[in-house]
Amino acid sequence: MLEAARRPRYGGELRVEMRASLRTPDPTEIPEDPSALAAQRLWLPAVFETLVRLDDHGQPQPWLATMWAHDTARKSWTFTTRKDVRFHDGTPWPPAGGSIVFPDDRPIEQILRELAGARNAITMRGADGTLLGTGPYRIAKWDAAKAAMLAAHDSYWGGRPFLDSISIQMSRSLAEQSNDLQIGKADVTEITLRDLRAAKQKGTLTSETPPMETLALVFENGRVPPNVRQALALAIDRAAIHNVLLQRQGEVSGALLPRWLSGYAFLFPAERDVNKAKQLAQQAAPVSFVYDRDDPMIRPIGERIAVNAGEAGIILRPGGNDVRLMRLPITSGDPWLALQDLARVLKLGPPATTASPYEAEKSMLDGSGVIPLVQLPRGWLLRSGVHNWPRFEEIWLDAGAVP
Amino acid sequence: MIPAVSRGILLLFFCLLAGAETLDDAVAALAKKIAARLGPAEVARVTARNSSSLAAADAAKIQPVLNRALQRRVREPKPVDVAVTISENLRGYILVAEIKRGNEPAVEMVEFRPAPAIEAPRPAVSIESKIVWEQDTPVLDLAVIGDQMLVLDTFGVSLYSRNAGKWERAAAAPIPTNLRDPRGRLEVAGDTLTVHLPGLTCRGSAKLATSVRCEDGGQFTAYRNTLAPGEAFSIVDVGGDTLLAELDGRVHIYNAARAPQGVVDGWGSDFVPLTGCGGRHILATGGGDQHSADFVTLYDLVNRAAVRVSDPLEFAGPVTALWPVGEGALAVVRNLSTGKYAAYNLALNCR
Repeated sequence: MLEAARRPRYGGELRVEMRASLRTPDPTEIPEDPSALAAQRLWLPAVFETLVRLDDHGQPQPWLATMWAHDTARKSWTFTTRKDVRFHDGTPWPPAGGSIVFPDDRPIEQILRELAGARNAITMRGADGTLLGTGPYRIAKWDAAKAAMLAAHDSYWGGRPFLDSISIQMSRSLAEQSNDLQIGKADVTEITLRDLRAAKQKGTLTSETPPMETLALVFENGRVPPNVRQALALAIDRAAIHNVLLQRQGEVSGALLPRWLSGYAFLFPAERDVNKAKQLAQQAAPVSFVYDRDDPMIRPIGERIAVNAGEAGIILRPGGNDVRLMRLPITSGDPWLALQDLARVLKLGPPATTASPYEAEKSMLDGSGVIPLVQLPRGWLLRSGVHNWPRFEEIWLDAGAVP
Repeated sequence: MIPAVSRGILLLFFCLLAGAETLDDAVAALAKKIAARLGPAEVARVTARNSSSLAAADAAKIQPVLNRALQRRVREPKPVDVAVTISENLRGYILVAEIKRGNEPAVEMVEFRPAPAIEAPRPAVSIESKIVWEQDTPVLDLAVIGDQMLVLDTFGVSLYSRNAGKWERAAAAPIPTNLRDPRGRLEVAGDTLTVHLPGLTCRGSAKLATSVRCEDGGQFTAYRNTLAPGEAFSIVDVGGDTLLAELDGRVHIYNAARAPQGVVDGWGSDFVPLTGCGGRHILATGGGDQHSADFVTLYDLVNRAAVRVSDPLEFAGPVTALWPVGEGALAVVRNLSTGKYAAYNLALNCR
């Protein structure tokens, strides 16, 4: 096995494909579609930056702001801005005086968390109307929901990224992605968990996150009464889904946030109790059930859920919109930001920041009719020679990997 | 200085984050929270389980400490079960107490960060290292000349003078470098200083008495981390052959006619010649990435194959620069724990 030289190589174009379709790069427009939201959260930092950024431990770190201080009365905060930051068209960013004052008397943890959120990214409209950021890549081309081309920002304050450009193909099915990787038309493609295991066994270069998706049943209207919802939660054999259908990948959970993020996921029960489910579901009306039959991972899970529900006396009928099997994205290393995005996807009000994350999550689960089932990692297949995916500014390609 | 901001309240965020600093603090904080949940006649009956990576010995301390902290004397005590789980998340450990009263248990939590790991002892090595300098800004090269030291970093060149055993900054010439994986070299000949940076060569006085003037071109490729010309990371001549760390991630050996003679695997992208202990050797970095600890190892080239002649000398982070200095070498290491850049003088121990 060859040891790669440690120094990264400059140059080349990375070609990435994904299922999601992003209509706009604008960070203030939050996509409603969960997969588009996950894609936006993944790609935004490559182009747009915030005053504060979360590190690998979910802690806010200075980014475009280098330090902050409050006034004597603790009524406002002054953020010192980083020098030498330029927008993608070369316009200097740092505001006059080198600082930004926020009149805000909330605890600093809340302010920093909010500033790390994508919607607070620093943006500017260029003379031609193009959306400009300060990040390591600029948008060279944006074909809504189809394709994008990102080019290296040569005067990036953190140093020019190693890649010359990144091309992103959107709305590509898993089969199309797999084919493109095989014929050398793509360098990074998405992969299902089932195929990820096989790829790893074959020695193919892969990348995998901790669980970043919560697979959940989401009740989309108020037609299903609470006792039937509870019965359904108790009827589903999460362990069998995890052990058999997912080949032990991911984690069984009754929580929205995965354990690596919250540490308290075990507080939300995930055990099966068919007898109790039967009692609760007596004389329940049929429930319409929808899931993505084209998704090779979702389809067998949907079928298993229908069987489990039947064992408890609940008939799940295909179609309709009573309950939907959904992939809910975990979009942040901060529990609050992740809960905010989940609330948006679930069409709930924003979680109350006066409570603890546990209380906020509990309130979301108590009130909304969501049944979390399992938490799943995300996986990618990489062409040999792709390094540091998905840390965009640090990605580089071996000489042989450059198309 | 930020106007309208009172002194003494300048805070970096990490001082403000919620959560205890140590396990003892966390247990005390949790006991306080549990106590606040108990009624006047209620007494906590604590059980604890560890579902984290916390050492069993540390985890075992939690239950007795909590029991002691929650001890109270009441006439007709009503026991309340408190199940404590030691868990962990992205930020560190978390103590979760479920106070089981009624149908809906009350939950209290306290987070704490693990103590930093104790560094493993270094193995005996035949390469000796001595730390010369350490700073926050990436060091590209460093030269000590008598009681003076020149440090090239991503801001420029600084001249330090030794005063009562300490280095004090005497002068500075700003030549900012804004590159990922920046590289640079200092050359001092008499009173003349030459600074090599990607796409630039700068000259001035070694005492920085005059301004440093820069012109395009030089040893390093512009906007890249390679040596120019040839686009290699390292180049060393050994016995008529030339070794190049090339962009394909391998070290290639060429003869004087530039014909390929072989390939060396297992080295990083930085290597330098090192003289001593009976010959001319090559000191090479390991093959880790920029986020892992690295090491240097001494090799000989025998029949155009690399033969290891020393134990690896391990560092607390990646080696970001390795340059020959006299008969030894200078290694710059980014300490993964502190984030600081430390420059080491490396020499051979022939014993």
